[in-house]
Amino acid sequence: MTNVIIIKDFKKVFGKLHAVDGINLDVKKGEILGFLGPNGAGKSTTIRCLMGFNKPTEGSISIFGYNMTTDSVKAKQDIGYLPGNVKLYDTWSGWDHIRFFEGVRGKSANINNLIERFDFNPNAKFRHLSSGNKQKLGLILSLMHEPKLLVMDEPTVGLDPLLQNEIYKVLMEMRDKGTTIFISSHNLPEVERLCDRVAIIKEGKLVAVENIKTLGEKKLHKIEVRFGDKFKPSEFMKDGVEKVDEVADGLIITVGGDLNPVLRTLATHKIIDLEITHASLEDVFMKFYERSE
Amino acid sequence: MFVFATRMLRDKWKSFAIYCISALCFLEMYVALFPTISKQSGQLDSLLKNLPPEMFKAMGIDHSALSFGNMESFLSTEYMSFLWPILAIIFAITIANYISVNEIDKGTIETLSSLPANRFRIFIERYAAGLLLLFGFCIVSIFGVVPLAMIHGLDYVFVNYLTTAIGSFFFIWVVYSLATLFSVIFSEKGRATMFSGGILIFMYVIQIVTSLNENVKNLKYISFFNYFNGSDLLSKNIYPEYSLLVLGGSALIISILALLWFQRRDLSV
Repeated sequence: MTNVIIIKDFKKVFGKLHAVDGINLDVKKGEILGFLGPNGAGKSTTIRCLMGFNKPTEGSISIFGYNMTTDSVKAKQDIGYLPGNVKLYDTWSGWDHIRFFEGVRGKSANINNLIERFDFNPNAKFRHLSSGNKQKLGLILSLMHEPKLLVMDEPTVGLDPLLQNEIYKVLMEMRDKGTTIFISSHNLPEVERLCDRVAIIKEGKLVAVENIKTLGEKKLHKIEVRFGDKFKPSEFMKDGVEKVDEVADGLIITVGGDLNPVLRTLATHKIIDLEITHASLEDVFMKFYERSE
Repeated sequence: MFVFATRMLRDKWKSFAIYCISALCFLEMYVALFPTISKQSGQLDSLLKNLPPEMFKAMGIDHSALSFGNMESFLSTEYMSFLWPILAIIFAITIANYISVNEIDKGTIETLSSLPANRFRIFIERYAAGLLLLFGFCIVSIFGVVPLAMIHGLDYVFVNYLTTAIGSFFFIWVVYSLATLFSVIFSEKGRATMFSGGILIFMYVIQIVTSLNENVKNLKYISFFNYFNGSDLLSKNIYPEYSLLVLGGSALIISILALLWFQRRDLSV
C-alpha cells in the first residue's frame, strides 16, 4: 500500500519553543489516521506544516510525493481541508465562497448534492450563519472537489450530535471510496468510531503510533459502585486494575483493558448503585505518557 | 483566471467608491469656493506673502507658488498639499492590509492557503488589483476637477492635472508598497497600520524639520514627501524626473521585498 503522507524528521521551532521535535509518520492510502494529543502538544503546528501554511524548521513533509514546502500547489488539488473552527469571509455568502473555490479549483460536479445533503442555505452571508452552519459550509468546501486526502483539525468540535453523525457518515463513505483521512481530535469515541490507526503526540514528540484495536485494549474505564454489604478494596486489585479508591459505602475502580474479572467480583456483592464510564482521553494519554517517561 | 484579483476588486469597490466620492465632495467645495476667493486674490495673495515662509514650509506648501489668482494654484495649496495626501495614504494602507494582514488577523488565511494556488499568484493578483484601485482613485480625485470646473464655468489647465496625476500615482504607489511590506510582515492589522502610519508621519516630520533647519537638510532625501510636491505639480506643472525614478524605484524594491517575505513567512499563527 502506498503512502499518501510521509513526514520525515519534522521539526518546527518558534524562537526557543520546540513545538514539534523530530517526528516521523507515514499515512497509507485509504486509511483514517487519528492524530491525538492534548492542547499544545504540536497537533495544529503539524497540520499547518502538512498543509504548507507554515514551513518546517527541519525535515520534510510530502503528500502524494510532492514536497509541501516547495511544491504544494499540485498536492492541494487533491486535498480537502477542514479546521475545527471554520474561519471564512464574513461578508461573503455561501455561494460567494463556493464560486471562489470553483474559480481556483475548477467546476464542482457534486456541489448541489452536498448542499442538499447538509440542508445548507448558500444564500446567507457567512456572518449570519450559526456555528453548525459555518461548519457545514466548511465541510462542503472541503468535499466539493472530491479530494483524495482529507485533512481535518477537530472537525466536529462544538457540533450537535445529528451533524456529528452526518459528518461521520460522510467520512465513512469517503473512506469506502478510497479517500485517505488525517484527522486530529480530542474525542475518543469519535476516534474509535472512525480511525484505523492513531498517532499520539506529546510535547512535540510522537509517543505512540497504534492500531485502533490496540488503543482499545488500553482504554480505561471508571467503575463507581456503592455496596449494600461488606467489601474489601483488595478484592478488586486484579489484572488490569489501575487504581482502587474508597468513597462512602463504595469504591471508584479504574480499569485498563478487560472489565470482566472486576464485574465477576462485583456480581458476588449486593450492589445499590453502579456506573461504568469511559475514562477521558486524557487518562489514556497519561497512560501512554507514563509509559514513555 | 485572476480569481484573487477580481474577488479583491469586488470586496473593495465600496471603499473605493467612498474615497472617490469624498475626494469629489472636497473638490466640489473648493471649486465652488474658487470664484469668490479669486475675486479677492490680490488682497489674499499679499496677505499670504507677508506671512513667514517657514510657516508654509512646515505645511509643505511652496511659498513662491502661493496665489489664489488661478484655480491650479488655489487647489495646489488647499487640496494637494494636505487633504489629498491624507485621503490617499489612508486608502493605500486599507488596500495594502487586505493583501495579507487582514487575512492572518482574522484567520481566513488558512482557507485561502488551502487552495491550490501558490503564494506568488495570490500576492501578485492582489497587489495588482490594489494598484488598479489606487490608479482609479488618482484619476477620479485629480481629474474630477475638470468636469466640476466645466459645470462652474471656470478655466483650467488640463496638462497640469495630467502631471499631477502622474506624480501623485508614483507617490501613492510607494506608500502602498511600504504598507504592503508591513502587511506581509505583521500578523495583527493594528500593528501593520501603526507601522505604516508611523513611518509616514516620521517621514513627514523629517521633511518639515529639514526644510526649517539647514544643518540637517540632507536628511530630506530619506522622506518620500521630498519627492512629492503638490504645489510644484499642480500650480507649476513641474515634475522632476529624479522624483519619478526615486519613487518608482523605491516602490519596486519594496514590493519585491514584500513578495519575498510573503513567500517565506509562516501564514498561520
